[in-house]
Order: sequence, then structure tokens, then C-alpha cells
Amino acid sequence: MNDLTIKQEIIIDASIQKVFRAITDADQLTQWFPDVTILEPKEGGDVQFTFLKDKSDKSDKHLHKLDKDYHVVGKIKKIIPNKELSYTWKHKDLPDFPETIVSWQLERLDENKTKLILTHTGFTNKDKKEYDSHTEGWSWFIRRLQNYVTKGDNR
Amino acid sequence: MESTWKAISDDNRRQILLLLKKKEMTPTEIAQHFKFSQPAVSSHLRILKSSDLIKEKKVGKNRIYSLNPEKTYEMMQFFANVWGYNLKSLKELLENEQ
Repeated sequence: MNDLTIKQEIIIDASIQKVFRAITDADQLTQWFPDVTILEPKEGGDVQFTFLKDKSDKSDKHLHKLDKDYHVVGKIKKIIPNKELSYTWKHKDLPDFPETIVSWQLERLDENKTKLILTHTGFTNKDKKEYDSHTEGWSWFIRRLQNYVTKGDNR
Repeated sequence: MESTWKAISDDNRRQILLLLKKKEMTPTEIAQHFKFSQPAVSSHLRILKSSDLIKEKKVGKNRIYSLNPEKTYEMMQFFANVWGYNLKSLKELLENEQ
């Protein structure tokens, strides 16, 4: 069985510290990523993300519509300030969802330019559907992260 | 009455407010989104309620919690003031949302 890996790269016009905070601080994460966030920033720390189905239709064309609530749980595998963050990623309500790992790597290009590499591993051929939906999801969220960090705008 | 600022000083309580932003919930439903126990959820809810940030209603045996927009709006007004903005009235704000 071939492993499927999602790998996405983006250059963000912001300092590495700023980007690192945006991916590790629960309050900041809720500005661009899950609606509700628990993230204990230490090795072995708990990660719980809730993505709420959107009930209100606020005519926001930018909103990524979900058909239901999604709960992601995981544990932090590695956290190196301003450099790297990785955690396990499993959907609580999808029993067949594989054990996957999300990893964020940051590289300082200059004071206000950071390269971010996101990898999501652990999918196999039989998870093609999840792999595809996560690939789409990550490109959406990475763009939101970029907007949030550079413009303070989460669209 | 609990101070609103003290109430939101807790990381988990801020997340509870975010959870309630889309729909009202029972304590059991709220607990499902977090790793803490039912008594811990109840204690957080008690503090949020006493600071008026959330409202409680009883339906049969259940207690159901929802956000109190007026109180959160007061907090927004504080920061608007810090930024030197003049916020619209809450009524106007809510009407524009629709």
C-alpha cells in the first residue's frame, strides 16, 4: 500500500515568532483554524480541535461550509519554539480514520519572511477520500493562516 | 457577581464561549468538546453565568446555556475605546449581521 502524504509550502510575510504563535496559541488558532481549541504546548500535551458546522448563514462567501461538526484529537509529538510543531491527528467521530501526523516546519527567510511547510502523513490508498478532503482543507486553512498573520484578517 | 475579565482570564472558559457562539448547549454537550469532567464544566459555567457572559434557561430537567451578546458587546466596547473607535449600538450591529 502506498503512503499518501500531503505537503504544502507557503511563504508568509511575517516573522517566524509571529507564525509560530499563530499555530500554537489556542486563542490565535481559533481566529483562523478550529472554532474551539485546546492545545497544551508541550510534548505529550493534548490537542483537541472542534470545527463547528456553520448554522448561521452570514452571507460570508469565504466561509468553508461543513456538513457537520468535526472533532479532531491528538497529542503533541514535538514542539520546538519558532521552528517545529507536530501532533497526531485523528477524527473522533470517524472510526476508520487512520493514525495520522500533522507537522509544521518553519524556516526563517528574513526578519519578516517565513517559509512554512505543512506535512500530513499516515494516509494510505484506502484513505483516498480523507486524503483528498484534507488536501483541500489544508490549502484553505493555510491561506487563512497567511491572511490572519499578515493582515489580521481571517478570511 | 463575578468580574467578566476574571471570567475570561481562564483559557478553557474562553473556549467555552467560542463553543456557544453557534448554538446553545447543555453541560453534557459542552463537556464532549473538552477533556475535562462534568463537575469542572459546571464550575466553569457557574463562573461564566455569574459574570453574565452566558445565560441559563431550564427546559425540563436540562439546563441550557447560551451566550449573552450584551455582555460580550460591553467587552468589545472597552477595546473599541482603547482603539479610539466609536462602536455602533448593539442593536445596529446585530441588524447588520443579518
